[in-house]
Amino acid sequence: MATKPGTGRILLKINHSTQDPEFSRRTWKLIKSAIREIHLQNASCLSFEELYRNAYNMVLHKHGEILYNKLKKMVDKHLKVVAQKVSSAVDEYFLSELNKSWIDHKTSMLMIRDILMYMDRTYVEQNKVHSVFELGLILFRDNVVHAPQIKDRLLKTLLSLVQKERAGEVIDRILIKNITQMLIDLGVNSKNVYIEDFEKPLLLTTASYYQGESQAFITTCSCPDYMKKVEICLKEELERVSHYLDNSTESKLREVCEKQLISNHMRTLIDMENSGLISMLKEDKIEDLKRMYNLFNRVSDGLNLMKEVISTYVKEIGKEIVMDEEKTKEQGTFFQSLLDLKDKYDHLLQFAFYNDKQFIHSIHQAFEHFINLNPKSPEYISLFIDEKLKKGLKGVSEEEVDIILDKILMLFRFIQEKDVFEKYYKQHLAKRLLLGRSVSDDAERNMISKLKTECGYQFTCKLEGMFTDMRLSVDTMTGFKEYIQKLQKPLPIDLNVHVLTTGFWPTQNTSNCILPRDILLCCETFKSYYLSNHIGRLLLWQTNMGTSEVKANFPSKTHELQVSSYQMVILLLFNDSPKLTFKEISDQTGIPLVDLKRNLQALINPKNKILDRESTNKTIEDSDVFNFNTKFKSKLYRVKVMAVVQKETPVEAQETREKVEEDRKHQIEASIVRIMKARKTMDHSNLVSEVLKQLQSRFVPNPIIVKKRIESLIEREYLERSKQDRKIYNYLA
Amino acid sequence: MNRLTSDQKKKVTEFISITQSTESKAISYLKNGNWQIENSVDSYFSDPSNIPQVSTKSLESLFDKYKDSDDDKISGENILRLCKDIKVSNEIMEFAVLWRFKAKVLGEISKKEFIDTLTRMGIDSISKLEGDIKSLKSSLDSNESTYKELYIYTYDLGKIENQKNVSLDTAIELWKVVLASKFKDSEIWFDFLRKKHNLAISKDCWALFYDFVKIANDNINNYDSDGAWPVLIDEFVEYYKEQTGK
Repeated sequence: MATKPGTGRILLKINHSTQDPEFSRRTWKLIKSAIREIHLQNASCLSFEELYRNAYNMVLHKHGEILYNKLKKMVDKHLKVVAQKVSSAVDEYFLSELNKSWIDHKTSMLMIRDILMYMDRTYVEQNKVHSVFELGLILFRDNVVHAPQIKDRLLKTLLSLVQKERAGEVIDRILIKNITQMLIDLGVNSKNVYIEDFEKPLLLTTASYYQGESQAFITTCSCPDYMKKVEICLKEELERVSHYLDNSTESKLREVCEKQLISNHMRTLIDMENSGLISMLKEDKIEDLKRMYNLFNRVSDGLNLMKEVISTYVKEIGKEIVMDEEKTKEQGTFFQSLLDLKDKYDHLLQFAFYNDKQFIHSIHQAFEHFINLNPKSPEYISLFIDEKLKKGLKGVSEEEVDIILDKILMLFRFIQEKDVFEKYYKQHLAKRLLLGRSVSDDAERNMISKLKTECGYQFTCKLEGMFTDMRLSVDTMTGFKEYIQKLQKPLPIDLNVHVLTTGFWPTQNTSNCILPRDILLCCETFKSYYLSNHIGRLLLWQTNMGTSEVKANFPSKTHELQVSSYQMVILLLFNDSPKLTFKEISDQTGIPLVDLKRNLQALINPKNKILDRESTNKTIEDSDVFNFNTKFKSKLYRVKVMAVVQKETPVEAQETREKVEEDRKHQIEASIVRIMKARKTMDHSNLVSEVLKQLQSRFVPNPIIVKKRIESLIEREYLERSKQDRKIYNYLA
Repeated sequence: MNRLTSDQKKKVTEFISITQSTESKAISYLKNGNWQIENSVDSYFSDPSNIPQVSTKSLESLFDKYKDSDDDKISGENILRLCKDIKVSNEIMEFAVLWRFKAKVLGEISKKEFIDTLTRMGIDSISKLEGDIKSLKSSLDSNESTYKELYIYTYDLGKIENQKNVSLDTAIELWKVVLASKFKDSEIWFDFLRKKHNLAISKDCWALFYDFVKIANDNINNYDSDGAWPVLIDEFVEYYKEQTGK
């Protein structure tokens, strides 16, 4: 309006008369009475246009300061009266009275601002003082809200209302919302008034409230019940914010509640007897675990604490399984319980812990820890697979086989000594292949290919070589049969030979037995056939691995006995004499004593008592005498006699261990040389860590052993220490 | 000579006492050899023109004076006689003499070793040899790295033909000579070896033990078990701390 050229001209005309002080006093009088009307809510009779012009003139003629101060004084005075009125209201109407005077004040100030707009634009801006409306806010704050008889009462009233709501009463949320909004407005561009007058005390009382509440809950509730209560409290507090608090309060209020309700009680909750974390795990309380995860996720370190407790617990449980003498005797149940444990935790991870990476990691670490506690774990895994592949997978569909193998492999991953596993796997595989015990060739190959993807080509190349040998042997036998037919000289017995490549198969001591003449003839025939086709090879007979079918004429019936080759050799002795001492059998067969005893045990086993022993001692003694059991009876025509399967004896276990250690030496040295050949020169700690890295997929070498290998290589002049620094090695080509 | 530091002057004097060369030659060789006495002397002697011509005949007669009656070598009593004549009386210096002659076998100097060494050094009399050994002694006393060379040489003396490592007993005997004065707790080391190790000693271990002694003498707690030391020394440190209560 002021910029309109027309009005500007008119104003210039009355310029002179406005200079005198009388003018300002007169004009202010007009404005003053108008403001008074406004305060009395009688503004309808006022002419705003006129008032504006008066105010405009005052400011224009440098009376801005007078106007501003007089206004301030006047509003100040008015508000003192208002404060008086508010404070005299009874408790019940206190807040609404305050709210009403606030609304009135705002309306008045808006009107006054409109009248004095020109002052706002010029005087206020030039002198950097509060605008008219802001001035109103400040005056209201100082005179009303901060009036001694109001300030504390206001806070107390607000807090008691919040408290009432927490206790379940219904309160006037809109009124509170208005009051909190007022506090925010009174901050003039900041939230200081709201924060200082209300938010801070609110947070304090909230903290002490929930401190008491949580204390009460925790002594009376079980862990899941407590957590449910906490969930409700948190939800309510959140609603409170949305209904009548400022949004900025949300995070602060939540933090206070979480601290009191969760952080302060985490340990107690986890450790709660019969309902804490451990029992939730025991009883698969998915919902409760999930609840705990969600609540603990809200506070710092909550999940870490949970993770640690779970990991320790899993380690304990796992340790019980792997170190349990009873369970480890039965490899089947041993592994089944590990698999069950794994399944259980996979399930929990997925449904309760949202597959949290850290949780997965720490549970896996726990598994790795306890599985490797028992040095026999690699053997047991292999035995478990052996069992499955021998009979466990009969009548199971291909997909199911795959699932089972995958599960086994999952546990296999935790094994650190993969090379030990390989040793045993080889032994067990050899037995399965040679004795034809494998149920499914597909399953066997499936397992190998899984191991291959897991550990690489090197790990399985020998195992695959075993399969190749088996395949080639079939061809060889076909060729051999044709060769026999051509010879026109039928062999006394059917001979089936597996030709095994040295190195692929587990090394056996070639302790041969004395074969009967007929069999020896067959063997020689095969040998001449084979060597005529494969010049320059050496054939050694491994009689300890073979099986035979023997026809036995018992007085009652003729039976076909399926026996090991050693047993066959023993039984054939009884063709010549019905009664033999242990010593005689041993001398005439040349079977190593341990094997001989094992096989005799099987032959005198009450189940298939083919031989009769004249003694009832548990173990076989040198002096024992054996008879051909003429009273043998069986419903079946074919009788299977298998060697007593013995768990690896401590001596054998020791041997296997030594073999593994020896192999490791070579692998460590090979790895050192490989690295040094590439690097030429390298310092000690880098070399060691590089070696560990290269080998960790197979086993975890002891750094001391690595060091010893380095020293040995220095001694054998593959490496030398640098002359300047003993920690640096040079490669000697 | 005036432009040299006092340390360098000392070295020049030492160089001359070993080589009997002129001062200007000594300075130029030392300068080329970076003021390392050993290297400079070596390069001096590797130039045939620097070596006073010695007649093989006189060396042979010198050799005959000490040689064993039944073989073409100096050993046993005869070595002791030789040592006595050049005023060598302790065991370390006897090793040093063998080292000077580059002897391959403990307590034996072959004719070839004798003649070749003296020819190379231009020495044709007992008194000159005495002077040479004397300067070697001062070098051993003052120069840690020279002593270490002798120490490492000693290991090879302990090897029996075709053997890679020195047997424990021999190693301990050798250590008693070359280490006793350097390591106060050598008895603990020997006890440890006899009780816990009882195997031959590798050259690597022998060589590094010399460096280890410095740490052990200083403060065993400064030992760095990740410092690429041989495992045997690692194990000894544990034992040593136990025994000495450090």
